[in-house]
Parts: sequence; structure tokens; C-alpha cells
Amino acid sequence: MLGIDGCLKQIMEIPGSHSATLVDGASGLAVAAAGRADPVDEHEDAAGTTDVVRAVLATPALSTTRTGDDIEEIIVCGTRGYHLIALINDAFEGRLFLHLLVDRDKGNLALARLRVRELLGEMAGGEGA
Amino acid sequence: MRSAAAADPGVAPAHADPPIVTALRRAEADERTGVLHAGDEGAFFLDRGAVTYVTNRATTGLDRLVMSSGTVSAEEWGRVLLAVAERDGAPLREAGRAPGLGRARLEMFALLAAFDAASSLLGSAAEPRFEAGPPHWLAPVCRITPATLVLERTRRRDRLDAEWPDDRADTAPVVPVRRVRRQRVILTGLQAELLLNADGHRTAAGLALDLGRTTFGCLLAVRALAAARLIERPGPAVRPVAPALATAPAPGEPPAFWTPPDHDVLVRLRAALEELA
Repeated sequence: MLGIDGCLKQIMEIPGSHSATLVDGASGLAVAAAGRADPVDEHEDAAGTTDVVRAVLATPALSTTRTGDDIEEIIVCGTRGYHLIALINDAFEGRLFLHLLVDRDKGNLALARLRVRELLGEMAGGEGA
Repeated sequence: MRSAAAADPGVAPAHADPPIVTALRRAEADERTGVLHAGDEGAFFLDRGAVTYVTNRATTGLDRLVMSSGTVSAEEWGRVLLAVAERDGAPLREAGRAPGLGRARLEMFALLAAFDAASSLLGSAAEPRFEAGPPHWLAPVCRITPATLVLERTRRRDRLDAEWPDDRADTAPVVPVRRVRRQRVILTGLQAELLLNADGHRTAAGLALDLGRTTFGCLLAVRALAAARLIERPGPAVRPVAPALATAPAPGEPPAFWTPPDHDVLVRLRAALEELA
């Protein structure tokens, strides 16, 4: 019976995790955050990443099929780290997504992606799903 | 002249907090537990000064959000509500046990509903009334400070105005246009839902309730639709011009930030500069 904070704590245990923010894309609200010292940052983070998600969803050039497919992840690779924006495509109201910053030297992008999918699945499915 | 403008009742309330915000801040300082009613529009549930849940007649509530998510059965949610009503019930444990819900989702829905309700309730002009009582059953999972709610309200209003700066779109019925004067239109899922379900009578908030979506999400989508000319925009604005005039100086009077130069000072300044050189 994990709450949101419990899930974020597990996400922060992914090797190389620097910070994680759970954002409601419909409003740009930072629902929860972990790994940040400054509380102002998480709201700026939420507003900024919401714009990115919106832009990607509104760009037909970034869809794979003619009718448009759903976006699961947006990855931005910096020289020092990876930004992983994982969208929760289920019945959640709004468009919730997780923004995870992974250190490039200490972390592994493929591992982080797998773990994030697993944990978000657990969170969305509730216990025993 | 100037003092008369400052005392104008139309100018002063823009800077003052609504009574409900003041009452909420006071309840936080006194660490009170109970319910703060804003007239009959809605209420803030408090636990030692922190907001644990907010109800609002005008926005989509927790029940509606949970039930229309499509993954929680009426039976599961009914068991949670039954546990709320029982004296020694454990609604949070019940929610954690429900396969379609889970504790994390319940927290998420509660937060979304609370912020949604608070954003419009904080602007209420109704007389606040506090009633002491036990904390809300969501208190263990949902704690928000009043300051966060006030900040979020400001941010949300800015977001709405950035999308389309006319708040009449919030209260007018959503009427899709008959002819789209563009070759290509890109919609978000929510915008499509709104256009498909608009019947020409319901407002954004009414559609939100019907679809089980957050009210703010729908307001934002409706403003974006107005900006994209996909729904009928309200007629030309009738804006009061008084506030702009109130700060302008009376004709003939010199502007307050200009004062005539003092020749004495200028002469002394030149003397001092010459001495330096």
C-alpha cells in the first residue's frame, strides 16, 4: 500500500537519480517532488516540463503513424545527465507525467527507463495489480 | 484629488485579500482543526492549520473524478465511502486494497480535486464561518499549506490569461463554431472531448462535471479553443475605463514625478565638479 511519496522514494533509488517530479500536465501542478532542496524549483520544473510535453504532443512531425500515436517518453540527453519525461497513459485525469533527472556518469538510461515504467505501473495499478 | 481616487471603493479591493484568505491564514496561525465554510459555496477542511481537503459546489469533486476514471468500480468506491461513514472504519486501508484504486491514486485524485476546488473558492466574497470538528478522513495523505493554495491560484489565473485573456470564456456556454477558418487543426484529447460533448448550453465547468475532468483543465482547454477560434468568442469587451483615469493627473497639473530643477543645487554641483577637475 504505497503512497505517492513511497513511490517517489523508490524512483529515487534508481542508480544515478538526481531529482524526480510528478506533474499534472493538465494544470502544470507539481503533485509531488523528491531530491530537491529548494521548493520553488519543483514548481518551475513542473511549468517548464509541461510546456515541453504540450509542444511534443502538438507536433505532428513527432508522431510515428499517420493517425498519431501516444507518446510514452520524452528523453533529453545533456552532456552531464539525462532528462526522462515518462507519461502515464492511463485513466488518470489530466495527463500525469514524471520528470526524472539521471546523472550521466553514475546512472544508466536504459535501466532508469525500465525501472520507471515498472514503478509507474505499480503506482497506477494499485496493490496486487 | 489624489486622495479621493485612493478612497474609491472600486480600486481598493483589488489589492486586499478576500475575507476567506484572511480567515484561512488566521486558522493556520492558530493551528485550528475543523471546517472553514465560505458561505454555501464550499469549505476548507483543516487539520492543525493545514488544508486537508476542499469542497466547492462549482468544481468537479473527488467522487466524480474517481468514478469517471473508469478503473474504479462503484462497489469499490462504495466500500471506501462506507468506511468513511463508519465510526471505526479505515477508508484509507480500504482504498489501498481496491485493485483499481490504490493509495497513490487516491492521493493523486484528492490533490487534484482539492487544488481545483481551492482555486476558485479562494476568490469567494462570502462571509467565512469556522466550525471546529474532527479532521477530514483524507488528512493523513493530503496536507497543503494555505500559502501554497494562494500561490497556485495566482499561477493558474496567469496560465488562463496567457492562453486567452478574456475571463468571460469561463462562464459563457461552450458553442463550437460552424465553420473552421483554418486548413489544419491540432487538438489535445481534452479539447476534442469538450468539442464533441458541447451542446451549446453547458459551460466549461458544467462540461467538466459531466466528463469527470478537473474544472481548471477544462477552463484552460476552453480558453485555448477560444484563442484558436474553434468556439464562439464572447462579444466585444465592455471594460470599465475608470481605474486607468484615476491615476492620471488632472489636466494642467504637472506630472508628480517631475519637479522643477533647483538652480542653487545645480550651481553648487557644477562648482564641485570643476573643483574636482
